[in-house]
Amino acid sequence: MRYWLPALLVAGLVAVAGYALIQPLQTTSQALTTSTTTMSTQNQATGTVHQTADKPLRLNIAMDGVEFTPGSTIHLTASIQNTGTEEVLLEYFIGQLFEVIIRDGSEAPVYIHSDTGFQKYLMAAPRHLRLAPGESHTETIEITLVYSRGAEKNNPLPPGTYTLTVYLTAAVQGHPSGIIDGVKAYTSASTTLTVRPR
Amino acid sequence: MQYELTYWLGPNCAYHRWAGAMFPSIMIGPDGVAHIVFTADLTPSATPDGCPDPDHSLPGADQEAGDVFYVRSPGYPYNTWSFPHMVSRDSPGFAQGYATVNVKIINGVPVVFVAWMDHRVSFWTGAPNSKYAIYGAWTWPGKWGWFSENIPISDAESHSDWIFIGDYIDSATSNQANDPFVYLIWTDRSDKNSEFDFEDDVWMEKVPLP
Repeated sequence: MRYWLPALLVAGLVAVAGYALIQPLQTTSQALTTSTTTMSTQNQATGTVHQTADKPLRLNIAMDGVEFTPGSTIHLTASIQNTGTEEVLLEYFIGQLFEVIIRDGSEAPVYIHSDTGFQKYLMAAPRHLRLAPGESHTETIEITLVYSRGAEKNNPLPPGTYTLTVYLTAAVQGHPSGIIDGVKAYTSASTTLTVRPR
Repeated sequence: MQYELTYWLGPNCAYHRWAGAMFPSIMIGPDGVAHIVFTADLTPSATPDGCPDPDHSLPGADQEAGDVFYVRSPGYPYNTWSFPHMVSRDSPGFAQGYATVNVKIINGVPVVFVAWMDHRVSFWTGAPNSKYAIYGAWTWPGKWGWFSENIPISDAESHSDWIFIGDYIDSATSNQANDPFVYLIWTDRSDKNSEFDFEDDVWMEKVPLP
């Protein structure tokens, strides 16, 4: 009996050390499980989804075309569907359910959707969105094909081929997000678009 | 000082919205002396949101993402202020922020109390800033410019959040001469082990002043 206290102390130290070792390993494991699959939609757009296999939310994107003129406006549809068997809760700030980044042929970002609004810097409480199994939530985002920052801000994007990526920036209760392309995101989907001369 | 906090808490925007942690708290005591506390990051990030920017090869925010500073003004018209004094004293590598200040007359002496959210308690996890606790310190005119040691106030460590942990913590005192306490509230997540568990609690502590 006189040894029970030291034994309990040793067991506690082992448990604390084990937790400290496991926690960074878990983070690494989450980062490494990201895989890439390909999806298609009924519209013209074809998206590439980066998503872990155990995530219950699927992100689909579609555009009202694949070829546009400089400075024209596209209508982007982003839809998230609960493909799991349980309700999921999403938490996000106003205007931050999705982030959209368009990159040119050299992978340089030319359009960042949050540049066009001020919502990112509002000090407001987050919103919650609940999706039942099988339920979807869809938003349509208008994007004008112009530079969103830098010296060329508001100038039309020149002709060329671009990659448009949508990031689901909401957090999902109980399911880890990560950092994708420098964005805090749960998952992402990409497609290509072409800007043709007028 | 021009060292703003990042939108997200570092390292690499790994945790909750952090920009509001730099907002100041002000209190003018019964003696007319004004006190302000705020948070500044002496090792500011290369990106405003604290996330790495692979498109421009910029690193994200580091884990030393803020310290708590205090300034005071002797009285009306409040056009002279002291130099900032760092109240949070800890080993490098952990963020402090969301400061609150209050003043209470104890036996005729205006005691200044400062509290803040402190991530030094995450040192044992291997994941900097993943845990936080509430710390405090106090001073009075005889200790001009110098605070007591940093004192842990919350009884348990809380786990950081991925998105939102509230915009502030707050403190209050009564005007009763026989009440030696400062009353402190904060967002508590001591029953959580994941930043993806969104449920929060609000806790309060009566802190006895010296």
